[in-house]
Amino acid sequence: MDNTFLSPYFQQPLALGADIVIHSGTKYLGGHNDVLAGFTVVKDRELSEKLKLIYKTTGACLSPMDSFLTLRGIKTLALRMERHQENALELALWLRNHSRVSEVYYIGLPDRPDKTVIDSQCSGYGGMLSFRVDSPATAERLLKEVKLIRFAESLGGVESLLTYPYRQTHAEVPEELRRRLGVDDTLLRLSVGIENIRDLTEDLEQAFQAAAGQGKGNADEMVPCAAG
Amino acid sequence: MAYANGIRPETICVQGSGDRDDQYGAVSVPVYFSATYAHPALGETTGYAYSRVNNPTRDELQKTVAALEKGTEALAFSTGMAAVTAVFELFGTGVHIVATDDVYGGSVRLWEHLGRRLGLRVSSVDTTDLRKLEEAITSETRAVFLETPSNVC
Repeated sequence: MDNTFLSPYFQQPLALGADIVIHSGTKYLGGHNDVLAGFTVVKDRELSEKLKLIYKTTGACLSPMDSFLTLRGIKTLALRMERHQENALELALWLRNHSRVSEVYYIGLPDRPDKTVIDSQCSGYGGMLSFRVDSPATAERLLKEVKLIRFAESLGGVESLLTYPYRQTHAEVPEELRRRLGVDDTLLRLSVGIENIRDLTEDLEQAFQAAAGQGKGNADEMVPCAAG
Repeated sequence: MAYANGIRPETICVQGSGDRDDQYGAVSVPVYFSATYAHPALGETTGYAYSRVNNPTRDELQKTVAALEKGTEALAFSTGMAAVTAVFELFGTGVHIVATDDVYGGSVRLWEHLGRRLGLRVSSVDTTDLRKLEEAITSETRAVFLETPSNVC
């Protein structure tokens, strides 16, 4: 059971009956987009011994410095997860009201049909959402026009990142399956960071406007990219 | 453990495993850059021999993550995919796995790669439908691989 998206702060799969939990520690656990890490967690001693044998034999262990960085990240996991969630919910509602957005997917939206299942498994909803825009061209322009939010893979860091699953995270998934899952060229994924929410909505709004052609010719007036 | 069981998640995040055995009382966990560890004598150990197997800084991280996940033991890998790979190493050759249909593409790439080499077969199933999940499980199925919430939600 891969628990990367919610982190143990919002969901503990072992307590729900899973035998093995997997994490990309690069994401919420590390939390700062500055370290790569992964985890397995088990409750059964025999299973643990088997995994430890594989671990010491294959050698993909985490370095001392990266262990320290991940530990330091975890110190603020609770605070970060609360803020990620607060921003994600606000942004999901904002996107839902946007004329260029046709659908928003966020497990924290109160009217989701699977809300009962969600609430029986986790104590919070995290900071990951995705949304569908009106055309592939709009998706492509948004990726180019965001300034504060960065167009990058990965998730779970304090910085907001916009991803294009069709060409990035799900590029390896067969086309027929991607279509069935709705992972097409109008879908964007947003890892909502812990910035001020108004800066995030303003950045998205200016990107939508630029995508619609309203921002053309104003290049000289554009504010320099605040995220460097 | 220097503090009692039942400590709350926010406190585990900040305080870690609760081990307080640093000789200088360091509040921040020291970074032990040592690749290897000297043995007091033949047949005696400090608990450490070589940092691929264990390292004091990594041990504290592993204990912290295990505590947060309510598990007994955690292992810290160099990447998330290294952790997924280790789990797939558990299953051996010629086995069947059922997986959530919208898992991360990197996991799909791993089992396509391993699948060819190890005879691993993975069925992608809409695991929100329990009937479909039950139908996909056969006598050769060794595991169900889930992401919840899944990637892209």
